[in-house]
Amino acid sequence: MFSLRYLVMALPLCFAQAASPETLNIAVASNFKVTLEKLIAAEPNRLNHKLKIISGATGSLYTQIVNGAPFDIFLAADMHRPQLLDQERQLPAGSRKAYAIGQLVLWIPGASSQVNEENLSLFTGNLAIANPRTAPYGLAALSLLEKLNTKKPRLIMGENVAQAYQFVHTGNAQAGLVALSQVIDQAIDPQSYWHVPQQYHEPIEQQLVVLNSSPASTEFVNYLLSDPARNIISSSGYQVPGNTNRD
Amino acid sequence: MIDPDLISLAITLKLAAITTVILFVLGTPLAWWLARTDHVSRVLIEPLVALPIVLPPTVLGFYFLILFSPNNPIGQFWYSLTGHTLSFSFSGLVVGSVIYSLPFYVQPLQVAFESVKQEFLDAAATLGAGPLDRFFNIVAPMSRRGFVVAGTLAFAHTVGEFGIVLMIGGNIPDETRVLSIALYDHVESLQYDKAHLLAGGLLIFSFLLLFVVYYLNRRWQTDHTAAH
Amino acid sequence: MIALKAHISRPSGFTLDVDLEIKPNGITALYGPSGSGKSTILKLLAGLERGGKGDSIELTSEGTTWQNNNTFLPPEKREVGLVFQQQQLFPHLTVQGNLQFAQQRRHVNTGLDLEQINEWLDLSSLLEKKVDQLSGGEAQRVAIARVLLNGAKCILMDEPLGSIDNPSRSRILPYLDKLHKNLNIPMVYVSHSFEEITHLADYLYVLEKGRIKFEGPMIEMSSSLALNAGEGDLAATVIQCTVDNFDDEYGLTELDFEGTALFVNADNPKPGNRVRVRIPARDVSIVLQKPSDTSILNILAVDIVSFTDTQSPSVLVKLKHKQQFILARITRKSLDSLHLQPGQQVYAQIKSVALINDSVSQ
Repeated sequence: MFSLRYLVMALPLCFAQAASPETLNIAVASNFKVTLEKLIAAEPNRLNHKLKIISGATGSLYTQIVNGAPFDIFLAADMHRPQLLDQERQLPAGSRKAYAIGQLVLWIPGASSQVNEENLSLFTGNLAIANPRTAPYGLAALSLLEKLNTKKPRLIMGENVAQAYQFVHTGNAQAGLVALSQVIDQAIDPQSYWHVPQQYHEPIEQQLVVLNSSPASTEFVNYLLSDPARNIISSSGYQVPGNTNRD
Repeated sequence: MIDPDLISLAITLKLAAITTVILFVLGTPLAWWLARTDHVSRVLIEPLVALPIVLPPTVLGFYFLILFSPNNPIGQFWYSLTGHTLSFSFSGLVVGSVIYSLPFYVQPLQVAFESVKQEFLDAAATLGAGPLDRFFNIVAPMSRRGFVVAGTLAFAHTVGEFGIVLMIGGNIPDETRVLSIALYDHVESLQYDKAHLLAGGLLIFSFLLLFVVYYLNRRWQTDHTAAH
Repeated sequence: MIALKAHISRPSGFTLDVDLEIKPNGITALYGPSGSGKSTILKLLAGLERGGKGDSIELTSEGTTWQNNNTFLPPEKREVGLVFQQQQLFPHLTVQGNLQFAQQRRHVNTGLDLEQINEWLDLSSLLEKKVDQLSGGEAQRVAIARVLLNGAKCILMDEPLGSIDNPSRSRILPYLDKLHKNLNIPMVYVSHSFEEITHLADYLYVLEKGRIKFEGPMIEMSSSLALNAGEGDLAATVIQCTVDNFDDEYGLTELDFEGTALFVNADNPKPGNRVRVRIPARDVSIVLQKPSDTSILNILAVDIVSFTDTQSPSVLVKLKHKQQFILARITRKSLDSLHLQPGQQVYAQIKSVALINDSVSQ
């Protein structure tokens, strides 16, 4: 019918409208959300586009993307998911970059003296870590435990580093291997945590993927990798990557 | 090395069975009291019992996490008694499951008890049957169906428990890693074939269980309808 | 003997204010319309009703206090058997199972065993049946048997024939008669059926709106005009006679009613037995002269005592024969045309006389 055909022809236009470069949809892993908000708040004038932030577990966000979620940029908490997306979608070179490197800490609330490596070696109580199978912080924690000579603490695995933190915070676990960004964010007394040196585990590299390239996305990524942004990121408890490109 | 999923299956069944038995012992008198009492406290107790039906399991799990912590009285008590935290232990799961599945046991049983006509209990009393005698020889046999439905629902509900275990289980492979958590892990780590296996298995199991219960229910419908 | 003094008031407006005694033998009947309090009294006796705040109840049985302000003896300790109108046999047990339940919780050995009770109540064919397979009448017989096996010291019956159809009702009454005759335990019988009451009661309490309106031995009460006035067509008198002999040739039993002969149909009653006889008022007519050449066998010389004073088409006339009384129901027209007066000597013709039971009664 005449009118129906016009309707069908008009449909793509509707979609085009939704994908307007005006609003940038950014999917961010939960643990980086707070830092991202700080970054955006710091330079309100620099970013000329509207930003919509969607946060969640890296895995969930990944699954949504695979099933068609219209995110423009994905800030993951690991390398693995961005790698998968890169391969699956044959993204142009430079779409994937490291933006932060997570730092592991051993946190023992209420410690009477500065927490250090020795505490972990002697610890026998409940030690909370993230699930190594699904979270890079967990994998790092496991790696640390293997390298150190520990007295077999009781490993309690949270679904992610946030839950590991929760276990320690409520007192159910007397210690935990959690993220530096968490203890900084919660203003935990530095005496009660030990910043685990890099050599004990693979870097917890957090990568971003640009799924939908546009002037807006380029502007955003450039900002993220700029010096002011890197300052904010490192003061939030991460290290910043030296190089900007990743294969 | 045994397939970890089989261990999870064993933990799940053990948890459901122990929870159901505990509910049988604790929930039966509660259901009976609720069915029969005129006491004013019933107004409070009934909605309390029903609470786990409406509350998101994560809310319950969250409060359990706080309650079980050695920093708080209950957790402290358990810790001093056993040397272990109540959280991240099978016992902790049992406590959580009993509360989580409580209304699923109590409510159908309460309905069954309420349908036992007072006249039968009166007749039994005049024949010399005291309160316990009346319960075991009149109420219980006449509420047979209610017991089956209550027990089955409590069992099946515990098998499917996820939110609470996620909050307080700690995913310990031979102690608190129940099937629903294992399933979740498989999905999270993109092992979809294993996930399908577990999910499909749970689905079939639950369906079969309910099928049997509803079938029995229908068959027993014909008993006890007429009475003199 | 059980004594009950109760004062109960409920928010619904229902009140009970009674002071009564259950005699240690025979059947005490509680008669009245629904809502008059009869069932409540039974429940109080059984211990199924305690009364509430503000109610005062004093209940003793042979000197033991069953209930007062400080004590309450629960039903399972009272040795009182209750037969309800319906819904009492345990549906998850067979008839046999129900009886065993009672027997296992037997209070005392009353000497009644299963065999005897089986025989009285014809239960042998019912034993294996499930409760929902029984007819109303059969269920009631089982309920009665259950109570007997339990060794009850007093049997309470709350409208036991209430939900049984009429033809079956007349089949059960003989069983109740048998019990009345053979048992030494007292019974309390609640009914709103005047027919059942006149058939069974030895002592009667008439209740209205929670209070006792009349009370007295059945024989006396039955000829009470006040009591019968409301019964209309069902008004009846109960009299006591002694069995004289059995007339073989005509198949009739001759009874001695205060020295006068009454002929009834009966199944070989024993001479010398005292029996109760029920005479429906509508079957009694009044004649001024002693009639002759009539087919009616039972004619008595009586004195008119009084009659109901009403404007309705029929009246009840109370007649005295020696020491006992009979009621006659005649039209007001006849009353006027015969110029019947209290004190007048007349004759009563009784068309049908029903022998209630072959029992020793008070």
